[in-house]
Amino acid sequence: MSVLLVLALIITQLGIFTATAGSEGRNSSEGSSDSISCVEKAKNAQYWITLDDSDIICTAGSDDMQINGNAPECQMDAAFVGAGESVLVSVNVPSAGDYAIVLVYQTIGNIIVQSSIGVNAGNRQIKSYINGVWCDESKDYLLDRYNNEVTPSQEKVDVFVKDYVRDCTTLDFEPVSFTLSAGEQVITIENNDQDIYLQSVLLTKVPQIVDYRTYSASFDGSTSSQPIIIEGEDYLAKSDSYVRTKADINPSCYPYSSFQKLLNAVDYYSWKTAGQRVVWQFEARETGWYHIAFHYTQSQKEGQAVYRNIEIDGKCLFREMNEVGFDYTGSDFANKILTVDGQPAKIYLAEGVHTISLFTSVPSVAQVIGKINTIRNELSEIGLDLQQVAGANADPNRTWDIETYIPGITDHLRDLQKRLLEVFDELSAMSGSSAASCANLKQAAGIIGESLKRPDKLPTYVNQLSVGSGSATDMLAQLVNSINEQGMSLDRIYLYGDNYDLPNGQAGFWKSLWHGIQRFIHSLMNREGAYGVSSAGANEKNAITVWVNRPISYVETLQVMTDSTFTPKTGIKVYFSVMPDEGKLLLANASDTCPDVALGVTGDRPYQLGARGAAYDLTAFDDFSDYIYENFETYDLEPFVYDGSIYGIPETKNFYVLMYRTDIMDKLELDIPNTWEDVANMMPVLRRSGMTFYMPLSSATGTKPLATIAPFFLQNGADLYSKDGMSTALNSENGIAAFKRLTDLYTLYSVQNNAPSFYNNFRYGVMPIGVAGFSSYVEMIYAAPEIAGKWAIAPAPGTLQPDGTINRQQVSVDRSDLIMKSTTKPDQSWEFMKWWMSEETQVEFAYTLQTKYGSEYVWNSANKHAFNQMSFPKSDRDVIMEQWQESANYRTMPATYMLERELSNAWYNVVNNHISPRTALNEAVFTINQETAIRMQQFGYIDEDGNVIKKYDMRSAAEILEEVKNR
Amino acid sequence: MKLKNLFSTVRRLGNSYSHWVMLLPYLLLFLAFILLPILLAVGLSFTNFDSVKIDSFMALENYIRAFTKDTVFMQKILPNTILYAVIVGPGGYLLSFVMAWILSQLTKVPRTILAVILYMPSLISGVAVSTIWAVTFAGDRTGYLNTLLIQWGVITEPITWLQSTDYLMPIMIFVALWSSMGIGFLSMLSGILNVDREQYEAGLIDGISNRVQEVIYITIPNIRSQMLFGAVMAVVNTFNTTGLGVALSGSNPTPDYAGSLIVNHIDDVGFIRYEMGYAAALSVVLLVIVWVFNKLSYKLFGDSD
Repeated sequence: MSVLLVLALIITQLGIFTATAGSEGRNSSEGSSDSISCVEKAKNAQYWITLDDSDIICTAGSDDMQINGNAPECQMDAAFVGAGESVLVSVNVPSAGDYAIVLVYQTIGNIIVQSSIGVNAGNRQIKSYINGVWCDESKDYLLDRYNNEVTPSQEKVDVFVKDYVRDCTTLDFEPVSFTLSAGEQVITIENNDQDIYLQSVLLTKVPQIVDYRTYSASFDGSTSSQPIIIEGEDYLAKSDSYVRTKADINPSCYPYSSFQKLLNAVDYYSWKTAGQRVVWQFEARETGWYHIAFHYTQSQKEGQAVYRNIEIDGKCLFREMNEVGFDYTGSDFANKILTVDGQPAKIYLAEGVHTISLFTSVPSVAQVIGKINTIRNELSEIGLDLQQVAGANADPNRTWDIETYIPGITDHLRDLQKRLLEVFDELSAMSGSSAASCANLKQAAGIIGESLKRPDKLPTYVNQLSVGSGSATDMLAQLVNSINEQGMSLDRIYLYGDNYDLPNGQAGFWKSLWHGIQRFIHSLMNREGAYGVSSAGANEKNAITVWVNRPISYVETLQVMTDSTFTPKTGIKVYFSVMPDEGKLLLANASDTCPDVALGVTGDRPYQLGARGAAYDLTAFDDFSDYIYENFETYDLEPFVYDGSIYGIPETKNFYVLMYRTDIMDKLELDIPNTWEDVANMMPVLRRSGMTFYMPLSSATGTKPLATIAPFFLQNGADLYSKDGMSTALNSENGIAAFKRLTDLYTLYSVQNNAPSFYNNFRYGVMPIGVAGFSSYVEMIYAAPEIAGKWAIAPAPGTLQPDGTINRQQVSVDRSDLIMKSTTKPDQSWEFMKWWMSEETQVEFAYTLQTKYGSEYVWNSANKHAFNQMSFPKSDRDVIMEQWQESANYRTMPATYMLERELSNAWYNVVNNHISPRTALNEAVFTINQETAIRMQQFGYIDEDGNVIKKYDMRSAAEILEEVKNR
Repeated sequence: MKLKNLFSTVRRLGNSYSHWVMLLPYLLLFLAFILLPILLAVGLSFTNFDSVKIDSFMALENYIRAFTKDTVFMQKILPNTILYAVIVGPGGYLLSFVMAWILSQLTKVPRTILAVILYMPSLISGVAVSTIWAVTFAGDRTGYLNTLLIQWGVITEPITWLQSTDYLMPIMIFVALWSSMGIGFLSMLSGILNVDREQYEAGLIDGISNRVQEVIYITIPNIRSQMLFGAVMAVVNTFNTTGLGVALSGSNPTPDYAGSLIVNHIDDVGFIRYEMGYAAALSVVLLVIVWVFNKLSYKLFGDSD
């Protein structure tokens, strides 16, 4: 036993030694030694595309532009084009022909949402991305407290980007060719999402690319003897902020250490959509020919390749550098050598600085995808038609003379089936083998064939054809999504001559084994569970411990931000830990190992801890009310109020909006509902087509959250509690009416009372309309590409008030922050909390999260100024802000959990067991009052006989804040 | 002389106390992880510990409250638990025995395969609940059972099985029986297989005329100890089942407490209502119930001598 231990120690020491000796550690002399910052470097470099002067046909500057008939405002010679504006650019076309358009622009501000513009010229209308130029803040990566390198923050580089107009809706990212006739022509550019400076619009020849043979004949010379190695993580710039580096745990990567995480590759997860361009800069020390090889891994698409175009100095040198396929490698890394006809290809580089850039553009695949999408759209049209004939659940015993209802439907289906099989042949020819995922096409065709066997029963096939998971349209959507994913991780690029030995793509067996052993032993001796809960700061004088109920990516970002901003400013050190289970707070309290601050806890936790004396009364801080007035809506503090004190502050905020499928609403000729009565009125039409309305209440399993029921009470002006707080007021006349309105939707109008996934049902069109919260909204924006552009949002339905207005209040409580009572450093803790929830930090945090991890990492800050700056698409933004004005919160009371539970039970009793709402509510009220009495007695408000000893403080958060301010 | 004396003293001590040394590891663990927690729970059950502080000594008030004031406990939780235990305990136990006996009649290869198949559910039940059964009984049209029943024309609208006060408990019992062929089943199987074949031959000579008599007069008396083990396991398991109703319905408490058992109630009281003292009292009640049923098992199957 002891022998083993000694052996382990020796091995680990050896390992640490070799790691620091740095055979594969980061080579610090590269990159970091020069003093020019990454941003400066990125500014100076030539990237994106280069144009020869001879290619440019004509140039239109800001003088040739018009916005709304006026000359645009100019700055730096460039026209300012605001979001939502469109520019008319007049160009002088010398002769009729095909041209490519190049835009020179710069994005303003740091909006992270993928922005697009519409370009209208000649015969075509194209939607094209506009990119910012982004780079890492620094290549001297910060280390976290476990010595792991942390993904660097992202900086936007303010330079003008020169790029072709490319169609961003497909995988075909080649420059679009516009056919223009001779003479004065007007190009219309609609700027959709983001303010830009538009410097000029160039008309160029459509790029013509030579083939390899022609290319290689045009230069002389021998291959270089000086290999160039470019590290994937050392990119100069990129088009998206969230293309990021990651630390791949694989000994074949460079740099690699068994003992710490070193950033070593571009992460496939962040680099997978067409048009994401990454640029590296390198220096050739010798003029000559170079082979190109890539050390990469592609683990996502078995049997299929992902594609990249390679450009040197902003230009494609020969045709074979386009659509380079990177095959599936499994979890291993491999080398991909650029070849032409099986022979390694060479490129000619002059001595000096160059750039190499990679992006995805696969016109051939894009065409196939286009075909599949057309088929899918036609099929869902047919599905909708069929649904209108007999609903989604047609009687299987009935037959229809379907051609009289929908003329030509069988021929149409037969045609679709034929086209699907054609696409299948095309796609399998392309990938060489018939990849597993292409089978979806065959299956979809099979489903159509099946349905065609009994045309008289076609309406019964709606589910298989177009509704729900596993239907033909769903399979096609899945296929398209999977083809569109073009993710690969890139560790290194090699440029080398004939006599260079390319390092192996995979680490050898012994090396892997050795690293495996090192990692294993290291894991025994070290805290592999990074950011595990600890009370690290307890013994330091000026340090606080913070537990966060969020995933590690959030905590890591938070730690870096704190270390770089908060600690230098205040001198207070902060130790963060991930707290996956809030129950730990209670246990820690019992064992006296509490943190000073807890972040991201559920909304009722501050109250529950506060009422029992475990949370710190925040009103004790002098500047509390000023801070709140400045940063929050006072009603957001309502849940944290107990006995004239406030025990927490809100951290994030939810919102509910009405989401609807525009295509289906149009087809059914339905208006967007404003009130619950409107919703009730549209139900018959929806039900006839086998569809239904979604309510957040329906997807909650078990106990229905109060936040999903309370809006009905709030909108109807019904209080949840009596004036003295000693009982509930649910069964007031207003309350009963509110509850009845809610349950009627289910019992009379058949809103589906169980809907596990709105996300899926919305995509399938089963629930084409519904009230959905923040997370559903984000999901739909970022994870449902197949319905992009087919849905919209509106304010949530409300209740008509006597004065004719509509009350659309929704509950907004989400996560919260609190300080523990046991803290010995309340002032430092409050200082930290003030910094954390300040506008500046919140905006910065939201921004860092999105730039680092992807735009789906939306941070719904409860800070009112920060919420205002959230990056949503422009059109949705107004709706969300309108709904945001209508947020409200109910106060927490000693027995709120019982109110929630009994309301939920009452709902079940009405909907499942057909008890009248009034009876169900009265029963609930009895139990709630009983529980309230027990709690009130425990907290010392009433004595054993039920007499009130002390008045329960029913003041609202606003009143308490006012009182604290005047204290 | 003195040295010799010392040696003999050591030996004498060694002889009389060595078993304690041998027992020490177990004793320490038993003390730290079983006895101490139980004593703590009993201690806490006399207080109103709210997981933050202890305000006052309550004497037996918590116990009195459980049986007089806690309507949910008396009206829903206790009946649920007893119904569940009475059906799943003996039911699962009988099922285990019958299955074990049937398997013992087979030859080795199919017996082993079938034993593994039957044993599997008890191993994977935690995961299976959320994958197999939650999908089977899902409350919308895509749930397997709903789809089938709608196809057969039995129902027209989907039934929310897992949130329904009528169906949740039967479904829980069904799933529990499905996964009840656990360790008790294995021990009974090995017990049956180890019965001396000569006894059956002797029985045949003595006039046993059918299989039922064989089981009653030879098999059962022979595997008494395994049956006792199985019974104890069944009792403990059924009363301590926690996750099933919660995992199926999606929340604790289950809708209208339809599938809440005593352990769920303890969880509810302790961690949702912060009444650790009362929760401790309830767990002591649970301990007593389990103990009583164990005594009963010993009465039935224990060695009479």
